[in-house]
Amino acid sequence: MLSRSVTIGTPLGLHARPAALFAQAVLESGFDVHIATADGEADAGSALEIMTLNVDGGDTVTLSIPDDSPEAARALDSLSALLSGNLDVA
Amino acid sequence: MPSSTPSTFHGIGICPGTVAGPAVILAGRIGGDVAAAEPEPPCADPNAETERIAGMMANVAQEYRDLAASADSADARAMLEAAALLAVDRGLINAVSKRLHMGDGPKLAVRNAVEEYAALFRNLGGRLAERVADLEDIRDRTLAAMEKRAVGEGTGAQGGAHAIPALSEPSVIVARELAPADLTMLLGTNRDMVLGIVCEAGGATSHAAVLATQAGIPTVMRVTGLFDAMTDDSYDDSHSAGGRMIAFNGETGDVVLDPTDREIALLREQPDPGAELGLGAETISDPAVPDDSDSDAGAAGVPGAAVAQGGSVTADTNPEVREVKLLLNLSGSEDLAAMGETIAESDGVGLLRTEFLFLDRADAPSVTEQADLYERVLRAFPGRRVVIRTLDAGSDKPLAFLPRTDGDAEPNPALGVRGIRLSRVYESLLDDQLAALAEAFDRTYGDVDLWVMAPMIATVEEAEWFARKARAYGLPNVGVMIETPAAALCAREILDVVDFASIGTNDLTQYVMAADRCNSAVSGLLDPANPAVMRLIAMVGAAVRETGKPVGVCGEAAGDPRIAPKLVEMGVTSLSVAPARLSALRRSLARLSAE
Repeated sequence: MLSRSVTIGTPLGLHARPAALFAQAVLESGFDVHIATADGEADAGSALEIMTLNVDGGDTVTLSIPDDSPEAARALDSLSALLSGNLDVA
Repeated sequence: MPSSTPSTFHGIGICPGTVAGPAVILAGRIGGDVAAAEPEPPCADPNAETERIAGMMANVAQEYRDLAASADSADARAMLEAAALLAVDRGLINAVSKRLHMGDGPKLAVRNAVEEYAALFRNLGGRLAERVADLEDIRDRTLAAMEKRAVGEGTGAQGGAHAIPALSEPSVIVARELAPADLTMLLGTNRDMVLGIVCEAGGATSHAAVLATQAGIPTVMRVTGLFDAMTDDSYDDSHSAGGRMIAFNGETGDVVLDPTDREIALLREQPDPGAELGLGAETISDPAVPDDSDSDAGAAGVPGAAVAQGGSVTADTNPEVREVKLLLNLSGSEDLAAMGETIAESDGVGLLRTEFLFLDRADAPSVTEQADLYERVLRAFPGRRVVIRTLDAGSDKPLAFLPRTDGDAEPNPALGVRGIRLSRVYESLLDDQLAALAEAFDRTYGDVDLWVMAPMIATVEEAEWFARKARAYGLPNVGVMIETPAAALCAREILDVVDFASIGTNDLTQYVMAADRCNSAVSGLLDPANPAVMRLIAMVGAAVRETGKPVGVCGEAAGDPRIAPKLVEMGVTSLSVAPARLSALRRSLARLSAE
């Protein structure tokens, strides 16, 4: 299991459009990625699931992949970078 | 034969045009009515059933993408493409699978899976709650596929997507509410036959309103009671109302069932609020208002008004006012990327509210966080004006991060410490906001015309205080809202110390008429066309002429086709409206110049 702590860089948080963009990136990575907050955990490959966490800009979340391979680590790095940037101007 | 149900109704005018024709009722959405659905046995193979349903949802996604491809506006395309993504969301199909394994029949599983997310989003509110209508449309289309109905064939009274009937004659569509996908399909198959649209629900900023306005279809929404009145005695499964006539005015929102010829003629005429005062050629006898005796305007016209290229309206009555800009009112949480066409049609932003940055959060937004957001809005309007209003908060919406005191519960928040008054108590909050605006201005230097204004100004001293502060941060265009009677009465002195002003007619009307905006018992007094309010605005117009400084209007009156031409005539230099109203406003001003 690999995990990263990420601060949400989208000022308005993960509402529909940023959630959809991030879920799309997760699906394209081919990995099983989870996103967790203090309130719960969700399948990051689903925009709806991400939206249920009601994540705000500036919140800290944990991204995790149940896979220790170097490919998984690379995917986690690039997904973390995406999430810490501003998805609303993506 | 007289009916015991009422025959006149009032809703929100969404897209102008007066229309009379046979009503065609679209079957109501009863998608949430789980109890009334026929009982289904649990399926023998939940996994296989999940696959089957996933396939149907993938088809629904393709339906949306096909509609997106034939949509006539970028905003409509973006909405439909977003819906396509939701239809194949992994969480959704997993929820369906879970319900199937729990023993739900297939249709019940789909209803329950959607309701799980819908209920949660409704509770969370805000932007998430707006996605509920999209989810319900996906549910209804999936159910239609499961019942082997084409979306477009008649349904029973229960559940499923709207029946979109093939129209045999020009008709008025009447529905409880319309999802954007329904509207797009309706127009795709029946465009020439759709005279107009009337909805019981919905509102000016709903997606369907935006699409109807862009398509130029006369539309009225939020007509409470209409659907019940129409379906009470005449509803039947064949989805026509037996040719029952309906007429409406898409600007005033008035709707009449079974109208007489006289009632139709009355609907076509628009009431002229300025006539009482004789504004225009005969001005009111008030020394503050100069006599426009060389204007040959009747009370109803804007002489010489013409739509120049780029969308601005020229008003020749006032030689100092060369162009009237048509701007947008934004709340700050819009999906700007999906509003490309509306943005391109506008001359910029007349009001960016900034409360969204401060409300519903535990700590104050940092300078950088604010600057990022302001920059994002500025970059969406290259080469144009963007007017940003500093925080307009008060005790009715407390800021969680401000220290609470016993005096916080104000009996009259509208008359209390709000707007600029709050900023003077918590000056560092305003300092941070001005610093962030200055930073956003630096980052976009040369690309955008940034204007900054403060709300709730009541004295010249307050205007001076704000102007000095804002200019110290290097902000180039500093102004104030005129929304108190005091500010309107002293507009001349206030304009002497700032660069511009914006009239907030919503609050101004409340204070002038001494009628609480939140009290429906007195809402009849809040029509901004009221002569007292118009007289005050005329006084501000005089100050515009005397000082040569720009003053716009950003309240609802700006988008009201009865009032907007009067405002232009009085010297207002810009009109700022909700995005859904922009096209209709331009059309109504252009029509006047053609008359």
